[in-house]
Amino acid sequence: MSTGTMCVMTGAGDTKILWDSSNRVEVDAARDHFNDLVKKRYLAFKAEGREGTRGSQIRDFDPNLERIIMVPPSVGG
Amino acid sequence: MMATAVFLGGIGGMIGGTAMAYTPAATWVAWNQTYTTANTINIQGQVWGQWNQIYYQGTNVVSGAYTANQPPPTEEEIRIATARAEDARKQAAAAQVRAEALLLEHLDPHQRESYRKDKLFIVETRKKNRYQLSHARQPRKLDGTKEVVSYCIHTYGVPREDELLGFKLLLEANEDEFLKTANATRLAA
Repeated sequence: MSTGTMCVMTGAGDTKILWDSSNRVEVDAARDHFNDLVKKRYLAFKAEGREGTRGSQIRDFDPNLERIIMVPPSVGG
Repeated sequence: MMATAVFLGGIGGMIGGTAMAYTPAATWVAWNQTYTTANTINIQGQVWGQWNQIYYQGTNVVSGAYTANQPPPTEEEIRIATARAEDARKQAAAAQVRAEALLLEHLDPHQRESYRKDKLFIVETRKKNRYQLSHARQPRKLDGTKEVVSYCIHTYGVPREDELLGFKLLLEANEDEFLKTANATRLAA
């Protein structure tokens, strides 16, 4: 069992969505939320550790990830 | 609303002491003459200056400043507006605190120290390119310590600290996507 966190950037600071990887209901809810955001063109990054470890971009929800950061789409100025 | 009748009704009047017909053509000539100037402050001042100097009241053209006939806000309205503004300010401050905490969690010790000291930090990509991400300015590409390219890129609707974290993650994970999105300006040598 492990707990995953999805940090979703919003205007109010990030909103955190937590799930227990062994709890199917929580995993499905987190996956649905992830997919909704991806449809809105959010970019998803996995971040392992909290010391600035280099992350990578992901396309699909993985319930075993420790931390996912969802970033709204950027535009050129 | 009365002033609209002046400009569209084809009725004679005075602008700057000169008699002229208030035809749509004349109105738009005046607009366009000022619009073509480079000084945008004058544009607004002249257009609205003319609007305010002459307006229509019933069947009479009246000179003088047009004032909206709106009652002053009540004490209750002022109290509500003030409370809303204060609430918005507190929410923005709280959002910024959360965003800064999230950013600092994802910086390495050197970047964190740099951000706390100068509100900026350096990101090195997989291709070994170096970018400076600053709270105050657009991202810059560095050649050594020299800034060589500035990038115009925005993530709307989030605090600046979240925006910087997003740029960091994108640069580290997908530099090409960052470069494809941002508008680049090469800086003078």
